[in-house]
Amino acid sequence: MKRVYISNTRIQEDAGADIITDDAFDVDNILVPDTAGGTVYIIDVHCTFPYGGQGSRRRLKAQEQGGVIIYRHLLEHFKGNQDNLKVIFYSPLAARHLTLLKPENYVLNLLPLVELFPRDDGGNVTLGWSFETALQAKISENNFPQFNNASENLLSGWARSGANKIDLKGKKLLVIDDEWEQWEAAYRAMLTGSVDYFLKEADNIKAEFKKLNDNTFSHLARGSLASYDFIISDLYLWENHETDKWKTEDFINSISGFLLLKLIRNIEPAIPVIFHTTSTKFRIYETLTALGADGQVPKNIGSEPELVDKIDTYQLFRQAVVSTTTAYSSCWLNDFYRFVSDDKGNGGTWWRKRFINEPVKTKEVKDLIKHAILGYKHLKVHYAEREREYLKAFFSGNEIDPVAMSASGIINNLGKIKEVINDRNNPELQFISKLRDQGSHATNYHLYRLDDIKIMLVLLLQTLKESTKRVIVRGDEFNAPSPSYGPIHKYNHQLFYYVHYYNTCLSFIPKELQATFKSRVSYYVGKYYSECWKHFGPSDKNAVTSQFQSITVDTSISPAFKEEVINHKLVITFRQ
Amino acid sequence: MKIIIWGRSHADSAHAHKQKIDDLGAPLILIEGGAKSSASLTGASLIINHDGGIQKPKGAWMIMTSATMSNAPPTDVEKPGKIRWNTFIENLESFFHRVKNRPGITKEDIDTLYAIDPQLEKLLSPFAGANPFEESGEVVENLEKTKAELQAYVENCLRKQDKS
Repeated sequence: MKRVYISNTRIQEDAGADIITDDAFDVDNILVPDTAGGTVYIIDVHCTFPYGGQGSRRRLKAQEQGGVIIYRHLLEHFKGNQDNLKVIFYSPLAARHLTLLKPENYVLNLLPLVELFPRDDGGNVTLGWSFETALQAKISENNFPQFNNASENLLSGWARSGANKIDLKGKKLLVIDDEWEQWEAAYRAMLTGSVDYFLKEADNIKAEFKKLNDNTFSHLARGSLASYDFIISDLYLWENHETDKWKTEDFINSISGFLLLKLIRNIEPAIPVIFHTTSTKFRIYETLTALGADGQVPKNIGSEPELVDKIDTYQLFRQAVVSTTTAYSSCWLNDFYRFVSDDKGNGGTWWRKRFINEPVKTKEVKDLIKHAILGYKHLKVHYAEREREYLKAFFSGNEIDPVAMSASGIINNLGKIKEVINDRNNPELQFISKLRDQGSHATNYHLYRLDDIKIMLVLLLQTLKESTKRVIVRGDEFNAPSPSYGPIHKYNHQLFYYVHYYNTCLSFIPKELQATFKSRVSYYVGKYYSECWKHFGPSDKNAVTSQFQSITVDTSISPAFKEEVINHKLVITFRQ
Repeated sequence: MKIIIWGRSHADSAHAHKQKIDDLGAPLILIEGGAKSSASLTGASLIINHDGGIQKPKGAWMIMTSATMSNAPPTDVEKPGKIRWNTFIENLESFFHRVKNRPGITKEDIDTLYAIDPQLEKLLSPFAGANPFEESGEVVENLEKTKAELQAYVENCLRKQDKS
């Protein structure tokens, strides 16, 4: 294998064989010798060279690890041809020490590196060591992980953010990227858990796409996709990303990632798909949103981005992955969707096992739940995460916001489940249908939020999966007090149902959901309290308090919480 | 020793880091703003200059700064350097501890503002210019000796880093 040394010193006799980082060296325009026949670049981590823009040009210091800067420029030079870039670094320090001194150069831990004059654990010189032997051993190992600027920048941002692996929480990830080899080492370093690379199995994405389009066998077909929990996909899979052209509607609609997403959605409507792309154009974001993508994370492709930008890019990536895999996230919704869609397994028979008194209205029940899942998912991804702040600002002072209306719309539809499964003895179905009834009233439909949908979906899935039939205990029926409180009855039913369910079914509420549940109760308590206050005014504090307590006392439910009004502020302590 | 951060807008920005600067022993760091009286520059050892437009006193180091400026340490006391504001704030503490008991500021002191460790640089430099195939006994012996010092120094630095 041909060698090219990159250092401050000439190493090979042939004048053009090496790259010498002398005063004439320009890192932005590295003259790479002919690489035909295979070349390995052997780089001194500490080589120094003139660096910086006009007016700030200076010679790098040895400790600035200029060799890594050169590597990043080589990545750019070898763009689209990364398999030809084989690099071995050398330094008097071990990779571990180098990356502790400069965490952003974590790539040194993953690429081959020869430590000069190595010593054993006792600090003794390794006898018989020679640079040539060590170098030859690295070449023989032939282990040259690939990166590109985007994957190396992400790795760098991750390392600088503490180098803590992102736990996929047992979720299986499928990566769809035509440059998957350049991401594999970075993902292995950053993620714990199972990651597959689509093009590792299928080497021609265009051919696979055609198979999908023709409804013939493909690696992305239902059976295969069903084994994954979420997808990270590139946007431009077989075409060049032309940044300098105006993108017409037709062009946008023909982008391979969009075409693929449409097909994936036909097969797996709820599987989370995060796009990892260099494109940050708003029109791309709009199209991804319309097609139901679960997120868009930018790739940072610069060879010398600011460290703070690398950290930002990594944080966006991390946020996207964590919010997809965490409890009751998009992955959970996808599991639920699959469970409901399953005609043969557990999901195919739950309504018979659990609600045997009912006429089997399989399709209606399934469609109803599936619509609620997809509606919630869309709302959650595209309104709650991105537009909520804007809406909040825009509608500040106005209680009715479009997100709430959409949330109540989904709850309204989901509550219709009682029309297809008329089981009055199941507490969860009763809870859901009662909340739905409240959501249909003009006075309080606007109170619902995304968390209300989440609570209903989680409880619904749990009760569907429960092996024994759940029955409401006599005396624990959902009978809300009659609206005898005059104008302040406005919020009492929602609060009553939440409190009643909490009191009677606390052990059935999963731990992970309890904080959300409590926060919704607090919200309704707050609403109720403010209505009392508005009605009775500050002149009659006792009336406010007694009305406030009456919701639990008058209806003989033991209070789920203790409320105290201190300086006009409501303090709530929950019963454990 | 008088260190001046010059310029209204950066004086404001410096206030955001006031606690950190105060903790270092604020009397030595003068934050100027508003009136640009060149008299206040007299006796300065280092001027961190955001606004420009001042004549630096002879013998004082001057480094221009802004939020987006590329780092370029001054090569000598007569040539102004450049520093990104965040770099300056990040490294101010180690710089200050280094210079607080000194009569003047050296080029090596200035380098610490750019997170350059002079001792580490001294130990790494022989390797940056060396041929890794070098066989001369004396050269190899020196490099091996430096390597041992380098390793001990780095391990010590990292131990301190761990403790902090």
